[in-house]
Amino acid sequence: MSDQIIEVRGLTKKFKNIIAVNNLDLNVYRGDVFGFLGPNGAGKSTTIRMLLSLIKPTSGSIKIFGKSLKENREEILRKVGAIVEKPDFYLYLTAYKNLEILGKLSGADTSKNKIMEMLDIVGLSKRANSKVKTYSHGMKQRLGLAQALLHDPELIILDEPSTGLDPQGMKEIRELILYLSKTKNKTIFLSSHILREVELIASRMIIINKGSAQIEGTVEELLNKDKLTVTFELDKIDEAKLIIENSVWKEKLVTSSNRELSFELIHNEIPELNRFFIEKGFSVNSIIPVRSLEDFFLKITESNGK
Amino acid sequence: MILLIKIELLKIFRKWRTYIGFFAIGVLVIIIQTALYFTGEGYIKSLTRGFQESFIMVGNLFNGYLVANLVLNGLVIHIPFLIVLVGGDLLASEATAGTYRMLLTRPVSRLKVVSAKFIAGIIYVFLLIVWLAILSLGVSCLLFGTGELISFSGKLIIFSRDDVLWRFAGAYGFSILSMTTVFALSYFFSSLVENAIGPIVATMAVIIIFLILSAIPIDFLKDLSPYFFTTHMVHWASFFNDPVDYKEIIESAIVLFGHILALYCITAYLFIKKDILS
Amino acid sequence: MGGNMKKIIWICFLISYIISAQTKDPLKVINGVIEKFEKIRDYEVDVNIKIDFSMVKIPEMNAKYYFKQPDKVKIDSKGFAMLPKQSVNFSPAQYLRGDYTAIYVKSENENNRTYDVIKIIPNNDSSDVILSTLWIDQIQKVVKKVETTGKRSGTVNIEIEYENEKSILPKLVKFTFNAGNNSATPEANKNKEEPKEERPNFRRNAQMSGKVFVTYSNYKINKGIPDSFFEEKNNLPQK
Repeated sequence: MSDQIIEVRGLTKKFKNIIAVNNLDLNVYRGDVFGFLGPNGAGKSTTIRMLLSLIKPTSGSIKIFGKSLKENREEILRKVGAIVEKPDFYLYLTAYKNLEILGKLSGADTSKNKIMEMLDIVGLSKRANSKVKTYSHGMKQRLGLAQALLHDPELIILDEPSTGLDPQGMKEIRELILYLSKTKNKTIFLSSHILREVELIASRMIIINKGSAQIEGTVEELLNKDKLTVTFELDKIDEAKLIIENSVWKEKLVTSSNRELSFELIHNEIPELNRFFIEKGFSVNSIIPVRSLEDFFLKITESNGK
Repeated sequence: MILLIKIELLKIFRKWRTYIGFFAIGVLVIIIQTALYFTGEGYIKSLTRGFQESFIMVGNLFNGYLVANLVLNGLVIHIPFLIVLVGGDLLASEATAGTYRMLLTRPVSRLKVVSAKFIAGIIYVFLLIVWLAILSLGVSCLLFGTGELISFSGKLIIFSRDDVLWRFAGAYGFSILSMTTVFALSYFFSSLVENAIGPIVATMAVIIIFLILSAIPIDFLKDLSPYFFTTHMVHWASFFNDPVDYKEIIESAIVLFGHILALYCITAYLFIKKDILS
Repeated sequence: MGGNMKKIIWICFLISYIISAQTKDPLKVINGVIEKFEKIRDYEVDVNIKIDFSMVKIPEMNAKYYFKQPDKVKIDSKGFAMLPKQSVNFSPAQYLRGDYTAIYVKSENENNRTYDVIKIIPNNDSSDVILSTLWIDQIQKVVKKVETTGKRSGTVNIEIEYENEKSILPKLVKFTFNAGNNSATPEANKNKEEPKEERPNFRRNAQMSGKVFVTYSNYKINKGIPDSFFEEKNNLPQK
């Protein structure tokens, strides 16, 4: 069995004169939690809709499970579960009925036990017989996850799955995604604006902007490509400032405050600076890398915009 | 495919607006039956006034068959609106509600989806006309009994009692075909937009325009009128002529069926090619 | 006065005697038919009605009707039936109601039969009938033909066929309606006090041109139909 679950080559979509997706390549492998990132209007939703055959590409190819999506659509979609943007349901039907209908269409086991089990997993079993029009946004989001998972797909495409959820809900989604990936060996294609969510759970990611791929790789690789902003919380902060002013670390200093000094460092400079402060007799109360994937993401997209 | 049709029927019949048509027909038929209960004899007298000077008439011309015929004449022109309430909603509502994203990411072909919805819509049309038949013919016969059917269409015709039911069957059957044409048009409009109001209004506008154009006594428009489906929709009434002009009925049936097929094919093509952006 | 005048008077007397000898008493002729008809106290008969009107299509109808002297009539039908009013009572007495003038017109030969032709004119303006003409078989003493003209109903020709020479009741009656002749009589249209829907209507009267064939079979004569039978609710003729 091929390890490559999604293979996209030269994917392009034009809407009249607007190029929404421009010659995009991406690769998703079995077991990946693949982060699909980009600012608003970057072409993420368009790409996801093309992956799910909601939109037809202008050019390019999409292979899922090693098969052409164009020629094997039904066979492929039988193994794919998805949430596309805000999950919408038949509001005049109950959650149970919605799942039953959508599950039957996907060839899922739609026995009462199975549906109730799925609703229980997403925390909606007590509201199974309520019409979806009475659901909050967060509840619909959970129900969206339930319909994506009901038929036990191999590939799960999630477009902003945490939108509308409280922190506890977001945590539960993250844990579920990691469980699906690590324990059930599912492949997750995750699009999100909540970058910390991607950082915490994604194994690989791509950042797109204006329809084109900006960078693709493992999270670790991408983070190591750039410097971090590291904040040291110290005692005797004024003395520390003076020593830094007269040291090689002066050029690395970014900001200072009454309690902290922030430096732009690469990874292996962090312990070095830490040793410097300790040898100079300072107590280092904490070291906080401030720059994360969010900064990285913003930098990439801003630089491309210039 | 059967599963898809069942699902679509479930969706149709779980919406309250579907029952507007059944309710409206129920109310209207009851009102007409009540009015005829009090004034039906007078109606018969007005139809047979020319004979009353010279003839004695015995028997019951005011019966369930007459009531059913009058109901059919009165309602059939208005039923299209009840059809488009559902037809115009079938595709557009999925776009409005955003449920296309759920539905069309399932492992079923778009051709099956659009066909299943079409068939479910035709089933709705069928059930609505059957409901009309049950109320107007069935209930009327229970209330007013049966007998000969008197009809005035150009000339006065009285059908013997055993020569009536098959005519009603033909009339209702043809009405199903006529209303399916209306449904197909609204279904086509429904595929073009993301709001059900547009297809409803557009379909009724087309029907009204064609009816008006057909009625204007200008040669050019009269030459065009055989191409309007509305011209052919009314031939359900031909079953109440004697002799029945089967050639005319068959020709109109072919025209209507052709409209249905063409509208279905265009809708299916557009639906399959459509980018789902909602 | 000379002999010439006397000759003229005798000639005139002779001519008037000859003429009077050839002019029959119309009432005597009619009463001869009535007397024969009164031998039938009551009867029931099956009728079949075929209507042939240009603007009307009605299937053949069957009914049963009952008659008892002098004018009791009852009609039974399983379904709808429409019968000319003149088909229910064959006694010429019906033409002699009210104030009328009867005129013996002539004796007419047709198909080796000789008929007395009598005209009856109602003197009452309110009567719908303007004129009735009867052809009475001199030997058989039955009405063979009637032509009636009414204000509203136009002209109706009735031709009656009998089973044999001894028959009093018909086996086939052919009605020919022609409403066009009289549908616009000034008298009819002047009656403005009538409700509008009651006034003669040109379009409706166009329906009234055509023929009706009424066939009579299975006569059961003088079986003693009680009066109460004619008082039952069912199937009284509609007005």
